[in-house]
Formats: sequence, C-alpha cells, structure tokens
Amino acid sequence: MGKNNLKLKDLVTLGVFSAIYFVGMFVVGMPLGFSVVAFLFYPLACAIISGVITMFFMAKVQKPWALFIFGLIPGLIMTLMGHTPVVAIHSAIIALIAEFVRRSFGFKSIKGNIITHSVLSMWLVGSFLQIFLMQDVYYKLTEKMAGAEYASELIALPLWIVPVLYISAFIGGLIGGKFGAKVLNKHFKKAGLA
Amino acid sequence: MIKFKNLSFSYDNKKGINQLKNINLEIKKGEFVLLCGKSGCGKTSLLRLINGLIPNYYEGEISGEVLLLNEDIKSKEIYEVSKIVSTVFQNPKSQFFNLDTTSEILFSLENHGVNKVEIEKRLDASIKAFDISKLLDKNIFELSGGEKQKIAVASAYASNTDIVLFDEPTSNLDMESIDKIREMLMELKNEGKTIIISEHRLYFLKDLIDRAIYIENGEIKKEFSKEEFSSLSEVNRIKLGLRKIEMNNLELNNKNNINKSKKLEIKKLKFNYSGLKKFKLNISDIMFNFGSIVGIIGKNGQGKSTFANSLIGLQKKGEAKVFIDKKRMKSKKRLEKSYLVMQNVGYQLFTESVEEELKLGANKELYQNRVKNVLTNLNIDSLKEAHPLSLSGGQQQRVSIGAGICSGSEILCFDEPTSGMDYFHMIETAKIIKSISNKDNIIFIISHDLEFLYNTVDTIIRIDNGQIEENYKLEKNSFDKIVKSLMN
Amino acid sequence: MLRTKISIYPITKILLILVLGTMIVIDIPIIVETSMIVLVGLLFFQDGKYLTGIKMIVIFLLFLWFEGVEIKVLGKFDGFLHSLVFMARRFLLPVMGAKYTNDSTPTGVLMSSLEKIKIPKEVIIPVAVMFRFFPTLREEYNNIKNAMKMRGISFSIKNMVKAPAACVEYILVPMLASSSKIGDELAAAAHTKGVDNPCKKIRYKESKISIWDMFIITYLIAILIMGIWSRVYDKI
Repeated sequence: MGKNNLKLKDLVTLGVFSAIYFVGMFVVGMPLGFSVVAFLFYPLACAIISGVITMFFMAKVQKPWALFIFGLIPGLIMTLMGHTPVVAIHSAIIALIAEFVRRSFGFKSIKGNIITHSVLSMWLVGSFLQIFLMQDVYYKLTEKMAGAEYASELIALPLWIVPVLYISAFIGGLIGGKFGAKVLNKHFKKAGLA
Repeated sequence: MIKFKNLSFSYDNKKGINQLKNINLEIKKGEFVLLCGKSGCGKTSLLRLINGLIPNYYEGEISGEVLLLNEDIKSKEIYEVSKIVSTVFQNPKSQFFNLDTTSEILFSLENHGVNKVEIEKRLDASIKAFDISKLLDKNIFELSGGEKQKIAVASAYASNTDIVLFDEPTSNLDMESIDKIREMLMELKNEGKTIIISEHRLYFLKDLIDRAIYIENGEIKKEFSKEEFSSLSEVNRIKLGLRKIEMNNLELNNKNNINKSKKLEIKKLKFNYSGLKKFKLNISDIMFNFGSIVGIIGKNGQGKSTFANSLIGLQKKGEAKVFIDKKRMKSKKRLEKSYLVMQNVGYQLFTESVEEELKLGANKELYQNRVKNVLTNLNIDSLKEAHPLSLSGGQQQRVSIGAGICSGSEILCFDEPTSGMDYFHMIETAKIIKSISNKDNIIFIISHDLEFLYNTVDTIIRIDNGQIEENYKLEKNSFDKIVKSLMN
Repeated sequence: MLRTKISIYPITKILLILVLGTMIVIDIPIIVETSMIVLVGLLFFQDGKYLTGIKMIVIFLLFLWFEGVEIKVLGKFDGFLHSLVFMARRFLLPVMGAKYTNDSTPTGVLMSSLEKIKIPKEVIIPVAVMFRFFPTLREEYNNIKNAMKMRGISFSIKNMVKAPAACVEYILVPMLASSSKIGDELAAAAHTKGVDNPCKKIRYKESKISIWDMFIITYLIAILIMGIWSRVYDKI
C-alpha cells in the first residue's frame, strides 16, 4: 500500500493522456500514410510530436508502472483496430523496457525522461515488423492497391531498414523529448501544472 | 447529521495558507443550508470535507473533526462516504463518467453493488420525481447545459443518499434551467434530504433555505436564518460581496458612448445548422451604433453563440452581408477586426507570459504601442511576467480582453463573462468592459446575468429561434419584460 | 421497464473487432468484405443508429464502385487516388467496428465485462476513460482552433512548414493544460460516485448472451469457412 500505488487520479490521467497521444498518432499518420516512402518517416515524426505529451505525462504521474501502461495501451488499441497481435506483443516488450529505463534514471530526472520517451517511441516500428513477418500476405494485399510495382517496392524493403527505423524512432524521441522538456519548463512548470 | 469540530485545513500545494480555520458547525438532518461568500473563501473546501474528497483526494494538513452521523470520516475511503453523500458539481463537462444518460444516473448505485431490482426501482422513482423521461438513453454530448445538470441532479437523487451536496450547480445555466433546478431542489427537500449548496446566484434559493452561512477567509463569519437572509438590506448585501437575493429593482448603471456616425449594419446573416437543431439562424436588416454595448439575451440553444460567431467571421459557412461604417466586410476581414472572449478563457492563452500573450497575434506591428497602455488600464501590469495559466479566472479574462484590444479589434464579443463570479468580480468586469468601450468599437455581450447586464449594457437584443425577436434600449423598467421573455 | 433493445454481450463485440482487425492484414475476397460490412451495418441498425449504418454502407459501395473506375485524365495520379481509396476502404471495417462498440457499450458495462475476463483495473480504467474522453477532446480541439483563428495563428499547412514548433506548442499547451484539469475533475467526480469500490457490481445495462451473440458468432464462423473455401478453391 502507500503513496506509490497507482491511484484513481493517476489512472484517469493515464486515460486522458492516452487519448491525446492516440489522436496525435493519427494526426501525424494521416498525411504520411499514403506512400511507402513517406510512411518510413512515421516513427520519426510521431516520436517528435508526441514528446510534449509523454514528457508532461511523466512529470504528472511519477509512479511505477504508469509508463508501462501508457506504452501498452496504444499498441493494444492499434491491434484491435487493424493489426496483428505482433504489434501488441512488441509494444508490451518495448513498454516494459522503457519502464525500467525510467526507473533506473529516477522519476524526477529530465534526462531520464527524455531517454525513456525515446525508447518508448520505438514501439511505432511494430507495424513495420508485421510486414516482414508476413511478407507474402502483404504482397497480395498491396498488389491490389497500386499494382505490382508498389507491392514489390514494399516487399523490397530490405531487412536492414528495421534497425534504421528503430534508430530513427529513438532519435525522433530525443528531439521530441528535448522539445517536450523545454515546453514543460516554459509553460507547465511555470504555471504550476506539473 | 454533520458536525465540524475545530476543523482547520490547508492544501498541500498552498502550504502556509489556512484554507479553513477553526470551523465549528452543525447541520441537522433534513436541513437545507446555503454556503455563500466571495470566491476563494472556502465554500468548496467545506463541501469537499463532507464528501471525503478532502483529505483523501485533495491532500493537505487537517486538524479537528469531521463527523458524519457521529463518525469521523477523515480516515474513510471516499467510496465509503459516497454511500451517504452524493455531489453535484459545477461543470457538466467533467462530472460524467459515462457517455449515456441512463447509465450515468444509475452509475453510483451500480458501483455500490446494488442489485438490479433495486436499481430499477430507483430509476422509476427518478423518472417520477423529475421530468426526465425524454432525456433517458441519450448521448450526454447531445444534451444542453441545463439538461446535463438535470441528469446530474437525477443521478444524485437516484443514489438515494441522505446528504446531497451542490457545488455552484447553476453557473452556466439560463433562467429557465435555473428554475428547473430549483424545482428539483424542492423535491429533494420534500423527501427529507439534507442539502448543502454553495452558490453565488442566490435569488432562486431564498425560499428553499433554512439557513445561510457566510464564509470569509476560511472562517464562518455570519449565520442567517431564512427570514434574516431574505431581508438583508442592499447596503449590507454589497458589503458582504453577495449577489442579489431579491431579483427586482435592478439599478441601471451603464454609460452612453453611442456614436451615431459609425454603424454596424447587418443586411443578412444566415446559417444552417446540421443535425439536431430544427431552426436556422436568420438575421436581416438590423443596425447597431458603434460605441454601444449590446447585451444578447435568450434561452440556451436559440442561436446566440452562432450569431456572435457568424458576425465576427469565425463561422464562415452560411451567408453574410455585413457592413462596417458603410463598407462591406467579408468574414476574413471581419475576423481580423474582431475578438471573442470565450467563456472558458483557458483556450485562448498560448504563451508563457502575459506580456508575450498581448503581443501575440497577426497585427503585431500595428499595435505594439498599445501593449503598454493595456497593461496599465486593465490592471495587469504587475502580472506581465507571470504565466497566463497560473492566473486566477478573473485575471485570465483581463489578459484575454487585453489580447483582443492589442490586436486592434473593433468588434468585441463576450460569451458569458460572469458565469460563476461573485459580486465583486462581476462589478469589476462591468467596470472593465465599460472602460474599454469607446466610439470606435462596439461590444456584444452574451449573458444570462441580469444584474451584470444592468451594470454594463445600453441595448438589449433577444435571440429566439435563430432570429432577433426584440431590440431595445435598456431601461430601468425593462426588467419585467426581460424576465417574462426568458421564462415563458 | 425501459429496455427496448437487446444489448449484445461486450465480449462478442470485442471478438468482432479482433476479427475485423485481422482482416486488414489478410487478403480477403470481396464477398467476405461485403458480408462483414453487412454485418456491421446490421449491428448499427440493431442499436438504433440507422443513419450511421446507412452512411457506412453508402460509403463502402462508393469505394467499391470507384475501384472499377479509371479516370485516365489524371494519369499517374489516378493510381495514387486508387490506392488511397483502397486503404480507406480496408480501414473502414475495423474503424466502424470500433465505433460501433464504443457507441453501443456504456462505459460501466465495458468496465464490467473487461473485469470478467480478468483484466486488471489498472488497464480497464485508463481504457474506459480514454474512450470516454475522445468526444471531449474533439470539443476542446474545436475551441482551441477557433481561439487560434482569432489570433491569426491557425494550424494551416503554410504555418506548419514555416514554424512547426510554434504550431505544435500553440495547440498542445492549451490542450494539455485543459485536458489535465478535466482529468483531475473527472477523477474527483468518479470518486464521489464510488468507482473504486471493490465490491461486485451489476450493471443495469448489462447483457447476457442472447440470440444476437449466437447470430454473430455463427456469421463469423460462416465467413471463416467461406474464406478458407475460396482460398482453397482459388489454389486449385
């Protein structure tokens, strides 16, 4: 028992911020979703924009497991809305790692929070992982979309793109996290909200 | 039923300030008690002690006893206390956990493990007691403010708790809705519930209360019986900072700046609502003088906000033929020249300091020199380094007004600027609006607050069914006409 | 007695969404896709949301029709447009399925049914709040957008390119400040309604497994069989 359990207020905050994060993901994803090349930038872009959201959340709820659940939820919902369980499992693992990264730096450490956000952002690569694990299915699917050209483009994504995507997500997270920390100081801390 | 013994409390995030000092109070079963006083006096904190939110949700240092049915509840879980205390909050937006009305009404009962038969009985009782059958099984977001509060009250009723608390429940409501709430309160009283209500708007409560408790700076300063309260003299009422208790005899305290040579003419202003509304906004051939302060009254949902949004060019859809000083202005131009102070000013604050906030905007270069003047005139010079989000409601409102002036607005609109304000702040707001009115601008104010309108506006227009039904100069004896038109 | 329509067991609905979601990544024949649209449309009607159901079917038919059309004038852009429409059509199913589930399941019922399948309350409450919060978020966004328009700092493509950091700041700061406050108030209100009472709860709008659930499950199995059969048939 005690002060470090997740109370109702924390769970509600979790829900509210998850909603904002989720909408943010969609807003960033929409313009990028229509060509394979643009979509490769999705983890990077999303990580940058969501920095403010995640940093504020971490400043507001400084308790164990809060971040884990925060990282788990989008993956869960994405799976329900049109992806394979690969995404859910992948984001659960990433969220767990992020949770422990956060703890090792301490809840109050800004640097730690930025790195946590960067680690967490790597869950966005999950949807790409799917493509590799289910290659021929994806081929059939995208062949209908825009012909054999497009589909083979997608499949032709070499395996080495995966680590590149992870790195881009991480770097995006660093940028987004730093920006988030800046906004946090400039606004929310100054106004006494966090 | 409820007893406070030497109760003192200070919030964790406001250490050093005693929110409540040495409260000794006893409330008997079935009593209807009003808590009144200026903003920040401690009324809400007192309610939070009764429903258990203090100290288990709002943490802080507490000493003394809070006894409910002779049991000290400080160490009880809030959900335990909620079995005998239910609360109706001020903001419809943030008090509903469910999206459908019926579930929300029964939510409390469900959470306490009540069986289905009992739940059904309470639902039927609620429908019988209040006229809410048309509001059942609806999406909460489709309801008007007044309807939402009705559901909130029905929810408290359904939970069958002996004690029901109300924290400024009428802040955003029009006269008709307030009257409906009054009826519901009467029903609760007749069923023997113990009711404690914290309010600024007092006129609708004067016949319901058994006692009124005046709180100042965290202490109980005065106690009034029902008769003593109703017969408070004007002088004393204003000294206490309270709003009108008897809604009559409003003193006219406006000014006249009317500039007959500059006019705002609306030849046509139309808008078609999609979805639930059955009427259209259709305004034609009406003229206003610059220098005027116009009050827009009318029941909720009849087109007041749409009118304001369309007029200033925020709402671009629909037809508009608006002339400012004989020149036709399209919506984009009108928007550049207008500003709307929203009811929730928080949406309009974007920067990290008041000074930056005033400088933000499209017409930066043109109006830089205004910033200094505005800081002084609106009494916010001392706040110029502060973050807008850290300011009080009244201060934020002034910053928003300042931002509007600094962007060179000629048409200024206000949407319910005094909702939830005590007497002092209401008068302040009236003063500020009168001070910024000059012969080159025109001000429109949407408001339900008659006391405020009498202190501010010179003209009244009433919007009903999307049309301007009445347009007249406000006189002292307009009062009866206004009330009749809003209540019918 | 006010219940005029039979409510479908929430777990069935969740199963439905899972199936719909998986369908995006599997190559399914048109007939399967159409049958699923019919099912979801039917569910909307059952819930009384006739307009939504009709709109969805119309949009689907439009998308379907468009696939067969070729606008030669647009040249390469035509291919792009087609891929757009195809994507949208594929996502139509699970998104509509999720919308249906969210609209037709009261928060309390959703929470109780997730409790039944032993999901911890630390996940249930945030998820329930998240779905409850989406409409509020839309309102907040509209208000902020209006406020920005008035100050001449709108969220247009031009501004996003010129000063992306400022744009993000102008939208997110008021949004997060206001949402954070609403969240705190919501939690306070939830406390006073006993949300965290650990006792066993019976939801008024709770539903038991009914004919409709049987129907849906049978329908899904039929689709599955049809899908496998057509695959096998194709390969021969």
